Amino acid sequence: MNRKIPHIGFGGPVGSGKTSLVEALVPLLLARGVRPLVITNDIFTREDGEHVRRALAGVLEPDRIRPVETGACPHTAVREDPSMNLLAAEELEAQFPDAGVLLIESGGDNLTLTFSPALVDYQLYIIDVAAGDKIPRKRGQGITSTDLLVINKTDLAPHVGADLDVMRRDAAIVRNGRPFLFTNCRTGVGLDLVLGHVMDAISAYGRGAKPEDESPLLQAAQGHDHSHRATHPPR
Amino acid sequence: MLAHLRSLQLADSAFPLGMFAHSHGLEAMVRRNLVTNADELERLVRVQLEWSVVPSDGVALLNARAAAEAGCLQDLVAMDRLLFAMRWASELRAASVQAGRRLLAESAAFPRGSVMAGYREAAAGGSTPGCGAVALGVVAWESGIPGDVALAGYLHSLTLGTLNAGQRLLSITHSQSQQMLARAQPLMMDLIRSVEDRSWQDMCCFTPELDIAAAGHEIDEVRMFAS
Repeated sequence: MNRKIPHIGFGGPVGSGKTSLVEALVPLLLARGVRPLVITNDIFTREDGEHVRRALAGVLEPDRIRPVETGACPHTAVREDPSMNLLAAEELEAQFPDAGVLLIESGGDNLTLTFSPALVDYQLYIIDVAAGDKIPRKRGQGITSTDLLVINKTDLAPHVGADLDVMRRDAAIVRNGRPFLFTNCRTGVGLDLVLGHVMDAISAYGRGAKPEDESPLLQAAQGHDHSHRATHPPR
Repeated sequence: MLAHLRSLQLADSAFPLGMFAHSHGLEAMVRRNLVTNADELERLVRVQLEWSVVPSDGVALLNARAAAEAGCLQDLVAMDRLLFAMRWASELRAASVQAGRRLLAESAAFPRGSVMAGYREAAAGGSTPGCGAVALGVVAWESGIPGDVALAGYLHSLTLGTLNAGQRLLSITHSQSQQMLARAQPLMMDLIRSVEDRSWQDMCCFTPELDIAAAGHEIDEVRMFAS
């Protein structure tokens, strides 16, 4: 497809907060003058798509939000065979030429989920504290190789016995200098930092940077060093 | 040999047409308790081949290849429109058009001539739907794949897709699924022979139970597949 706007992918396990993050980012993007489009990939229902439409009622027109069924294969739908998402993206972009970015939320999947570079230019992977503080060191391409790792639901740490310092330490090791940060989408903590990364990705696209040039997955495959991309996680 | 390899590439479930997201009406049948076990799934697959897929998509594919060979874009568009009109469940029409559009996009690197270019342009411009079977017939001609081989690959892909969906929707094993596929192969060969000389004006399909269920699928609350 002839892509006209940047595509940002949001991957992560079921219940980690992908939908909440997308819903929180949309008004922030609008405030920055960027009109978003949203594609949700549902596994079994249209729950996520309908949830986003309800949550953003009055903020973003429902037609700008498109649910896609994935035949129970969320990773296939965004990586091995992104046809369904590419067609939805093509139709949305044609329908709304004023859009500035397309946010694509994957269905909940395992820690190896990544997006095809044919589908997205920048990808976030969202995990949550309640799944246990061991998640970052379990690795998986989603954890280690995406552009930004978001560790969500920090408020739940004391309730589930998760140690944020352990997650911070392990994430720094397995990410090898790639950025990660902590959020609490319910209260908005950390969202400004996520927005900063997303706006940087949009700007990079506007400068004509090719996705392949900046893909960490491709760079990893080519054995490139990522230390120059290190950022310090917020405490 | 190159044409054989190309036919394997096109029939492979890894060829990115998005078909993994479709159950070709099976999910709707399962939700309505019209298919509940392996025997009923196998019956559906065989009925679908004999009464719907081969006499409509199959005839279209063979005729599209012949029209491409004859350089007749007019016939291609006419059979494309007729085939589109014959699928009255909207999701099944959408699945066909999706496959056609993706096939035309993914085969852009294949060698092609003026008919392919004209058909691609007509599909992109909306003057013809771009149904999957017609697009495949054109690509088969451009790739030197014999019609019966292309159609066998198409039937294999579609049947495998339905059976794979069955493994997710029903309690059947991967071995049962493969056995059903193997048992369907002689039927596929017989059906291909039965439509070899049929013209596109004689395309038909008659699977009312499946079509009614498939038409209702779009408003089902719980759905895993796009069709």
